[in-house]
Amino acid sequence: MALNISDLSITYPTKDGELLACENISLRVEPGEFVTVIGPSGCGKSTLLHVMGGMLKPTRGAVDLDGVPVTQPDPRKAAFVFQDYSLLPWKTVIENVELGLIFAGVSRRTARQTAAEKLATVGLSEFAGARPRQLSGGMQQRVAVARALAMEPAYLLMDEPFGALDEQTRRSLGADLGQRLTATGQGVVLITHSLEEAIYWADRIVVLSARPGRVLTEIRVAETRPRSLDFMTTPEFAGIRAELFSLIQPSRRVTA
Amino acid sequence: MTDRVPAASPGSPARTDAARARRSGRRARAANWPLTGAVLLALIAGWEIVVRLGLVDERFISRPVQVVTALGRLSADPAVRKALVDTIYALGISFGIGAALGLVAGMILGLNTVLREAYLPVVVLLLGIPKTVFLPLFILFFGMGVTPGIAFGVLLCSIQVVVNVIGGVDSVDAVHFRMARAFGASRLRLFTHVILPGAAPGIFAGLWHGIRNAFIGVVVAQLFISNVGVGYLVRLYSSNFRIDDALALVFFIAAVVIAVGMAWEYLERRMSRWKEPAGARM
Repeated sequence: MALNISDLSITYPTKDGELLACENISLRVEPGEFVTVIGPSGCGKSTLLHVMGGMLKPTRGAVDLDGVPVTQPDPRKAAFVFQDYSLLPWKTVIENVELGLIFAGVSRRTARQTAAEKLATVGLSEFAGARPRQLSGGMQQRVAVARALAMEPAYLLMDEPFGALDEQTRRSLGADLGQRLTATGQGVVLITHSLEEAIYWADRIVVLSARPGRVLTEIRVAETRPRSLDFMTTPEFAGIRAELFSLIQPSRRVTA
Repeated sequence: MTDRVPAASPGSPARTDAARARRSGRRARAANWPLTGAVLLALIAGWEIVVRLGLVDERFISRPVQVVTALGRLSADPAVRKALVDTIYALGISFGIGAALGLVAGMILGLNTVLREAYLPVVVLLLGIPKTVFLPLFILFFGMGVTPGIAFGVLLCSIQVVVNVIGGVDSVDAVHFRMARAFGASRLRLFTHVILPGAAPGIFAGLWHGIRNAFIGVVVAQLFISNVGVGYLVRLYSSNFRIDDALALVFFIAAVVIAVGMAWEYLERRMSRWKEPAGARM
């Protein structure tokens, strides 16, 4: 299932009139592809992700999955992983993971079974009965990923999923999840403001300009997935990092 | 008449940390049981001494020993038993109706912005004024029997429940609404899986203040306008200078209220186990 974004613009009403968040964005995400979207803060990348998932209506342009317009959230097609995890504290880990399936009316037995599988995929089987607040931030984010995976979506839409974590956790969790998702052939769109994350995860990096966000350029990362953390020490990685850095460094915002 | 809520103040309906604050407050008190007991004993002893020394006229405040004797005498009195049954009956009906009304109204006002803007000021106004001023109206509407007590209890109870339920709904985290929408929750499932458990602290606080205020409403109405129930008996005994009997009834009521409060706290803690600190159950 390919995700198509064509000529998308989004404006927000604010006190001082209309605010243009994104402008003329066109993008195509292939099945099983990892695409990262990076750009300066306030460039509308999170807004863009919400539109991809049907959470927001674009002002102009359209989003479709294999020609079927995306007009409302459908976690079977694109499932969200939010930065703040958004786990329900009164439910156990496994109850959180199966939540989307319960919402979809799947039988409790099937839902529980699928949830257990996905919990194993993210490596948290032994915490099925725990409450979210008993887990670390990184583990909670794994639960949120499992909850999204339980929907067996064509795409995971990850909105700065590691943004609330410390550097160390961020790197190791990113590497681990990246490898696990590669193994399952999952398609991913990941929003980030971290250069490292953008490169490490991506088959393709979409670089947005400062507001209003436009696609500045797309960069392919040739290295095959799954990647080890050592990829971050290669000259290829350093080269892309330098390129990205010059593209989104603050001075560029003034001229863009 | 203390029919105001500590949980809510006008303008900011029902702070939902009320339940939490109340719980931790009681826990602190529970840890000090010996101190509380000592203070109570000292008060009772002081009362007995002051009266025996003739500093205060026994006709007006009786003595602890007399009150205890009265308690024994009253427990065998069929009129008292009937009054208790009438009061519990009135409280039950009053809390049942008041809580149901309050829950429904609180949910509606909590979830519908337009209706909230229209009706919340009325609720806040009702919360702020001393509702005992309406008592004469309740006689006009409901006469003298059990009914005015029930009706007044419903009024006091439902307002407490409404503001606390609204506060509870407000306390549901916005990110949970967003998550539910992203994962395709229907309105019903959004309600049962997200809103109801998210608002539970406010609902619990509301029910607790509701039952307290229903009780206040019932007894106050009996005290002033009714000719049934323990409130009426307290008035009757006082005006006949049977202070020991009146106080015995008052203390009995107080003991019941405290016992119900403790049972409620226990229940609430059991049902909010998920709030226990990290690691508590691992």
